[in-house]
Amino acid sequence: MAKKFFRQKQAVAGLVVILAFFAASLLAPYIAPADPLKVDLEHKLMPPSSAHPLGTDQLGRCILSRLLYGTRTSLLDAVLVLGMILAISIPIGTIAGYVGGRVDNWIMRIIDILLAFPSMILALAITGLMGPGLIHMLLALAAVWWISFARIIRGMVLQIKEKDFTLAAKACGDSHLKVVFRHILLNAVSPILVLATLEIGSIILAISGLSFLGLGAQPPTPEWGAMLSDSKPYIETAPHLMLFPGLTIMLAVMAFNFVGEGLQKAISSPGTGGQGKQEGGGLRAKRPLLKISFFKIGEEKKT
Amino acid sequence: MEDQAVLSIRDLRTYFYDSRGNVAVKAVDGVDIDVYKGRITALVGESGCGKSITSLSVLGLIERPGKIVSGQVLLKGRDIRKCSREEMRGVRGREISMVFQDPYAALNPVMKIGWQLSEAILAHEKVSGEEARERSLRLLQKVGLDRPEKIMKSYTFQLSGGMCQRVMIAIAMASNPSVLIADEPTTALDLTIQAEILEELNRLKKESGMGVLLITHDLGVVAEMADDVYVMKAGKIVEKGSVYGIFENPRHSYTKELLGSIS
Repeated sequence: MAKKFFRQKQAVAGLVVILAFFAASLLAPYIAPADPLKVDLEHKLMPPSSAHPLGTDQLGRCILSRLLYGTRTSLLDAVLVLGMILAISIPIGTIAGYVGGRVDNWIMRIIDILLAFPSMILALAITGLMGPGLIHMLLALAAVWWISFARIIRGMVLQIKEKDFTLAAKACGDSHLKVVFRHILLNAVSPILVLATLEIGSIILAISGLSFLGLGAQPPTPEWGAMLSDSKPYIETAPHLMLFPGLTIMLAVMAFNFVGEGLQKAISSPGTGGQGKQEGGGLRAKRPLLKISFFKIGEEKKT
Repeated sequence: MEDQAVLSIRDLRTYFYDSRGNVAVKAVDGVDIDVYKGRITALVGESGCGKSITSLSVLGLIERPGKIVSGQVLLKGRDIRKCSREEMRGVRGREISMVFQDPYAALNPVMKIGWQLSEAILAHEKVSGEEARERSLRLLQKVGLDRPEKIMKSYTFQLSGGMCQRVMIAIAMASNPSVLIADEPTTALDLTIQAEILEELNRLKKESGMGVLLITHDLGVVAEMADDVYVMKAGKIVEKGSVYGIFENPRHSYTKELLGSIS
């Protein structure tokens, strides 16, 4: 499986970019050429130069440094949101799928109702209600995003539940808990990983998007979306203010999507089983913000 | 003979219901079967006649919309239908274990064989991980697998169908069960492998003295393996007898039909 992943150039490139981003977020204090918060009005809106490789913004702050520090907010917070989403959706999806019957019905109807709200608007509303701020925005995103995850995970669980090995495990005298953890969730790990990687790009976009609207990171915290937003008045006089944060967001989102697709292809190889046929309503769940394509895994046979 | 049966099924009825709560299918409709120690009892019938549902009912693994309506499942004289869930878990795998049709599907694809085997041992006995490993190795040898160390470290997709089925049997034999239910154990395998697996089952049965309930639609397998035969049709046992009796002198028209279809 790993071999098959590393054979895909795109995926490897994506992985390298992601690792570079994470390294940047950790090493930002050491590699940034300047303090990201230091205002220097004498040198504002400067084009790229040796002192500031990507130029300076409207307050004379070094754009490269701000982008590097911005990885911490944009990227690590995306991971945090993803963690929250998984922490909510895995238990709920698993319970709905495994217990089935009335419990499943109730959970799914509630999810259906929640899905009826446009998720981005809902996130906006929740953040608005709690007041702008990074933490509030992250909570709001997790609160609207777990819904579709739970649906998809329920679909996975339903599908794995039907496999013979779950029945065989029960026939061996395994308890429900053991069946769920050892057999169902263990087999769901790889499809959930794919789902998560594919989705983290959208989460980065959402964080940037909400920050762009002024609901997320508050100035002077460096954040990619907020930087884009700040650059609006200077789009004609100093286009690099908008260009570099935009490119950075694009690079990060693309990298995660490439890795996600690479994982997906690697996992759907014969033999790893458990995720051969992806079917059922779960995977056709309404996608929240951007992604539409997901799980194109075909039906393949074991050889 | 009656009191020697390790497993006696008495008037077992398992029905499936539709969404309005009416009986949709009487999958098992008053079945009586006796499985004796050290003998192979075959349950024969066409697809969908209720053979597999019978075996799952014995283990109490029927899920909605199915339900065991009535009947007794006597394991060494004790009605295990009256067991609590907890007790039932102790019966499954320890007293009655099961081998499934498709060995690839019945083994967890993301767990190494060794792990699955040790799990099966640890599920019922409190032994150290080291001892579970030792016993797993011996079990693999017992079911005729060479190089058990290597197999312990493999995943199912690295093994052949025959090897997987042997592993499956090893897992089923992990706690020396009194009854082994083999649900079409050879249907998914090549003909040559089929013969090997059946031979293996026969040998293990002799060694351990367990009773085997062999579920199959293959009368060739029945003729070769079984001591007693039950013929099932539409949820009911239509004929029972010794393997010679059934083949020499079938009484029920359905049995004659079945026999006619292979010769």
